[in-house]
This record gives sequence, structure tokens and C-alpha cells, in this order.
Amino acid sequence: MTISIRSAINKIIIVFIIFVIGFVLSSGVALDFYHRLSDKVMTDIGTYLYHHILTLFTVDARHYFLLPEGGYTKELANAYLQNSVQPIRFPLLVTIFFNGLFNILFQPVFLCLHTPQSILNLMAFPFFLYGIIRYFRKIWGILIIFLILSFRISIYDSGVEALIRHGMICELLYLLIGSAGFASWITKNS
Amino acid sequence: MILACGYDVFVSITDKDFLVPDSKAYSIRGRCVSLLLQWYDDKECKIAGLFPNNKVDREIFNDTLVRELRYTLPAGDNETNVFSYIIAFLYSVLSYNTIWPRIFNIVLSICSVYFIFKVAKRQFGDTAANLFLLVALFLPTQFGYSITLSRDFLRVFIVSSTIWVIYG
Repeated sequence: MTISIRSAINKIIIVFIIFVIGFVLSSGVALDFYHRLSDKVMTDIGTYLYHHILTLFTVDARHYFLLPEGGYTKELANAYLQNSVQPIRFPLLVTIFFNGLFNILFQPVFLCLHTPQSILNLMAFPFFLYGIIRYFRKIWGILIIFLILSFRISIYDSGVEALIRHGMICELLYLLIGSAGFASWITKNS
Repeated sequence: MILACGYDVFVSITDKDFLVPDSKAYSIRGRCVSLLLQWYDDKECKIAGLFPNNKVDREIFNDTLVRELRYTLPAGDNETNVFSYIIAFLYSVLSYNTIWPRIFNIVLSICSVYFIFKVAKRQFGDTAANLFLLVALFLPTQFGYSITLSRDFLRVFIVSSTIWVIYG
């Protein structure tokens, strides 16, 4: 029985990887890393969310943002103002996420230079959904990048002008998927 | 490009950048970094007449130079710092004129759209790619903000080039 050098090296590497994984899991390094990472992520998300809630409850923002009071409670904003942090509930998280997503795609809601763009985005929305369904296996990575960026930008940016400017990359990705969906739809129906 | 030149002239005459009001701060910050990279100090700036004549500009310049930068080059991975260095590089190599960052932003904007266009062409075919190109090049945000000194195009370029590397 002969074993090739390549096969022997592969076996050594596999044993080494198993050893490293065993060490990381048994020594608590992985658990410690997980706790630190989750703490950091949750703190950041919490900060962004409370910032967003506070922005929505200022007088100016309520005139400009879509769904200004949807799913929010004034108690949360007051709690933020009084520095008493409250646990973020899942329905609230979902509402804020969709609010942010709609804000980044369909702003501005008032008449200005960017109005044609928001009308175009509104018209592209069904094709965007169709594009996701049609090409999901191809574009799931782009979709994840789009969702993460839109969540981060829409939650953090408090002004409409900044939101439009910072959201340009999200808009490009949205139009990419939208145009793919539209092209697929007209090709299918012709 | 013509629009950028026109807008640059408009801003220099009226002293108002209504598209991106914080453009001036970026420009002056870039100018400071450019001067610091060329080993200027406060006295030399005054002697060489490099302080802006306008009172507001001079205050921003002083603020940036003395309080924020403290006569040292900005460090860290902050996006503003990176953009300041890029503006400083353009000012140092070409000349102190705000048209260079504007042209730089236009180039970044076109490159970003082109990268996404390549992704669309590879993944979804010619029809979708051409449709995307037609829409994206004339988007008011892409078209309008690319003539300003906005640092957002740097982010757009990095994300679109990353997507192009993965999917293009």
C-alpha cells in the first residue's frame, strides 16, 4: 500500500485543523470571541436604533420621513432621552428595518429635484421583487450587501438630503436588480 | 464635465454650495493636509499669503489647522481623512483648484456605474445591462452630486468595485 505525498500532507493538514478547532472550542476562546462580538454588534445596533427613534420624534423629521410613527412608541424615545436603555423587541426591530428600507428607496416624499427618481424607484419596485425571485441563486450576495448597507445608512442618517446622498450605492444595487427583473419580464412576455 | 466647470464657477462667484454645503470644509481640510504634506507651518503660510481672504474660509482654515489637525497629519481609517488625503494629493500634484476633486468624483461615479454595468452584463445579459446603464448614468443623484465635493462617491466606488471583483 502506497500513500502519495499530497495525500499525506492533506491528512496532516486535516488533523491539524481538527486539533485547532478542538482547542478553540474547549479552551473558551471561541465562546469569549462570540460574547465580545455579539456585545459589540448589539450595542452598535442599539445605538443606531435609538438614534433613529430620536430623529423620528423631532419635529422636522416627522414631516419628511415615511411612516414616522409606524410601530414606534413615544415611551421609547422618552426612555432614550432619559438615558434609560430598554430592551429592543423583535417587532420593533422589524418595523424600524422596513421603515429604513422604504425611506432609502422612496425618499423624498416631497416635491423636489429628486422626485422623478423616487417615482422611478416606485415603478421599479415590482420588478425588483420579480428580479429577486427570478435570480435569487445568482444575486443572494448582492442582496445581502444591499440589505446591510441600506439598514446601516437608513437607520443612521437623520437628514433627508444626507439619506439620499449616502444611499446612492443602495439605489444602484436596487436598480441593478430592478432592471434585471424588468428585462427578464419583457423577454418572457414577448 | 462642462456642468462641473459651470458649477465650480457658480460656487466661486456666489460662495454658496447648495448641493453639498459641507464641500467647503472638505476642500479646506484637503488644502491644510496638502500644505502639511509640503512642510508648511503657520508662519510660512502667512508669509506666502496662503490663508484664504474670505473671513469664514479663514476661520475654517484656522480651525482645521490649529484645533483639529494640531499641525499633524490626520491618521486613522476615517472616510473623511481618506478623502482629505485624496484632495490633498490632487491639490499638491495639479493645483489648488476645486475643479480637480469634482473631476475626480465624476470619474469615480462613471467607474462605479460601469462596474455595476459589467456585473449586470455578465449575470443578467445585455438587455438588463443596457437598461441599467441608461437609467443609472442619468440618475439625478449620480448626475447631480458627482459635480460636488461629496465624499460619498468614494464609498460607492469601493462597494461597486468589490461587487465587480466578486460577480463581474
